[in-house]
Amino acid sequence: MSAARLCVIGSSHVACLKLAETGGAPTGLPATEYFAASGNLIAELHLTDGRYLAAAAGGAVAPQLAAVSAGKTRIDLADYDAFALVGVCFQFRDILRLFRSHCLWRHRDWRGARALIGDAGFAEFLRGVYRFRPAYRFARDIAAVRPDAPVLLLPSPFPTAAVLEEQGMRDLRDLRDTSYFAEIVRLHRDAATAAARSVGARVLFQRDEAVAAPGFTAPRFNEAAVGLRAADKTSPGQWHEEKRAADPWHMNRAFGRMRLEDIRAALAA
Amino acid sequence: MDGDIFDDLVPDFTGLLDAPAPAARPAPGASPYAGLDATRFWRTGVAETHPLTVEGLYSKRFPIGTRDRIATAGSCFAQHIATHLRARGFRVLDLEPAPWGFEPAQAQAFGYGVYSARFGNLYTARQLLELLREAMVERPPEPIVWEKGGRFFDALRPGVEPEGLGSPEEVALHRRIHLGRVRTMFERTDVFVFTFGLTESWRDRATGRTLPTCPGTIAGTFDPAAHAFHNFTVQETLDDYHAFRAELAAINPGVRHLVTVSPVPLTATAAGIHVLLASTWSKSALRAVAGQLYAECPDLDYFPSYEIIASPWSRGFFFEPNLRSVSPAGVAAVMRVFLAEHAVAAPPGRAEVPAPEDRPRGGRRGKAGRNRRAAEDAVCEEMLLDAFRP
Repeated sequence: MSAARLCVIGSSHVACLKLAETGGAPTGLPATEYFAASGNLIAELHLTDGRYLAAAAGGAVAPQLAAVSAGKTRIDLADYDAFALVGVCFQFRDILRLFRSHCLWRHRDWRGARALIGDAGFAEFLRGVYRFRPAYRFARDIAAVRPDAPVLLLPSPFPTAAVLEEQGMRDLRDLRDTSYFAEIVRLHRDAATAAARSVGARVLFQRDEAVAAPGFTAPRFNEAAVGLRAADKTSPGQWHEEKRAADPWHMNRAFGRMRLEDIRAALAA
Repeated sequence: MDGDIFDDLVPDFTGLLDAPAPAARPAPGASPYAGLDATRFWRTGVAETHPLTVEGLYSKRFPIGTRDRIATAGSCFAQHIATHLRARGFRVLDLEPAPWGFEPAQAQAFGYGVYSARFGNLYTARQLLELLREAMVERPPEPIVWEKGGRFFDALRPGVEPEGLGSPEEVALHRRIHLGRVRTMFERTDVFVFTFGLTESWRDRATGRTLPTCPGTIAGTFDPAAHAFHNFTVQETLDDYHAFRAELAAINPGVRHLVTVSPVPLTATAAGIHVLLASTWSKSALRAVAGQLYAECPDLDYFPSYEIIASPWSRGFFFEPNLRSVSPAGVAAVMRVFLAEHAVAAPPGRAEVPAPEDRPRGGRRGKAGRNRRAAEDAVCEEMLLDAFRP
């Protein structure tokens, strides 16, 4: 693939990529524009005549899009010939939500068997999860307007293990380093990959060097973590405050640069 | 909002021990039919009424309120009842809720949210009785496991894992946990709703267990040496339900029963006669059982969904073109009659979550957790027999 213009659309996890590029884009990365909104707000964009119009979405989307994209509040898909969708497909929390209530039988001894789910049921669960993630809708939209444009899905990064200290997560402290969790992560990756393939996209998972243990990012990529930053313009709200405190969910500039290199390599392949 | 919520807490058993009273003793020379209500005559009660505006067909024996914990089980038709009860704010137990994230159609395909636990369809009273007994013993027997394509199925509920499980051991563990949930269901329910479906059944000769479907339909292999056909009689079905009622009362005194008969005809018969004859016999037998239970059990109510759907009165309005599936209009007609007696004003969509000791840890409950059903199609192993049609 080769592309001259790259469009990055996503959640607050776009921030580390954008700031990494500000500090010096990897050689060979196409000219890139960024569009992002916090959380799942970006999912409020819907395709109209080949473009996403922030004004047609909820009120919170437009100012965030403008803050990130130097004032642009519409995304004309025809203007780009490659797309990267960041943080709007596979999410760590998806793993945990099933994990807390159901387990596969071969890991029944982990914290005792609560409810079991068969592997076929688990696979079906994963298919359902990915069917409705925004990235897959965006990928279909893009394919309709720019059928030859490569679409890359960059999942939200795994959090660092510090997430296990968060309220509501402490019961999962022995998750880390268990073969069970590694297998769950693998199954999620497989499902995300299959779902991406079904919509003509490709998932770029974070590199092994960024993984401290299956499902957890190495802490060095979390130091000075960044989310969307527009404090002197439009504040997206509470998650800005979280960035000033400990935040095991977002990653830093170094992580962002690594992801840009991944995008470049995928587009050059 | 109900103004007299306490009414729901005190079932009205007034007069239950009295048989339905005939008309007041007629004077000598007067006909016992003279002066009867219009509903007592076929012309005025049936032929000249419209199925959508019937009145007086069902008079509840006891109220079922929003505080009652309701367990549902039975044949395919019972699934519609459970769905609509939930939608109307009744507390329908679900001891095996779907995992978070399952869409309703996915959940249904894996037996979640269909009944109060994932036991699949229980077509006969014998299956119900056997399930109760199995759930209440400390060490249940090893499950019957069927194999298909290298995958393994629980023979007593083959439809809840459409692609089977990885090993017989996994089937056994799944069943052991399931039985624990079933036990909790029996212990906690206030009202047990059962829909009689079939009299025809297949039995595993080695264990004596009644199977929900003939081996080889979903999984397994039919072997006449291992599997026996049995058509339950009126007396057998009656005895089975009496036994079930007595044994349930021993662990859960005060539980009430609501029984119905499925109006859905047989897909196929192994009785060696025309399916119309076999289906009529079967439904007649089950209706006789329901009537006898109503007469003998003061804590049991009969709801006439069978009459609403399948009698000449409905002129076949409520069947789909296959003359077997009940149409949404039919289900709506059934529920309308039911709710006319058990009307509630509670918010819709609440399902009873398991007790804290059973509730999954952490997490919010999403749409799948509330087990809303998107599809009206019931999950029916019996319908799969149609695949063998010439």
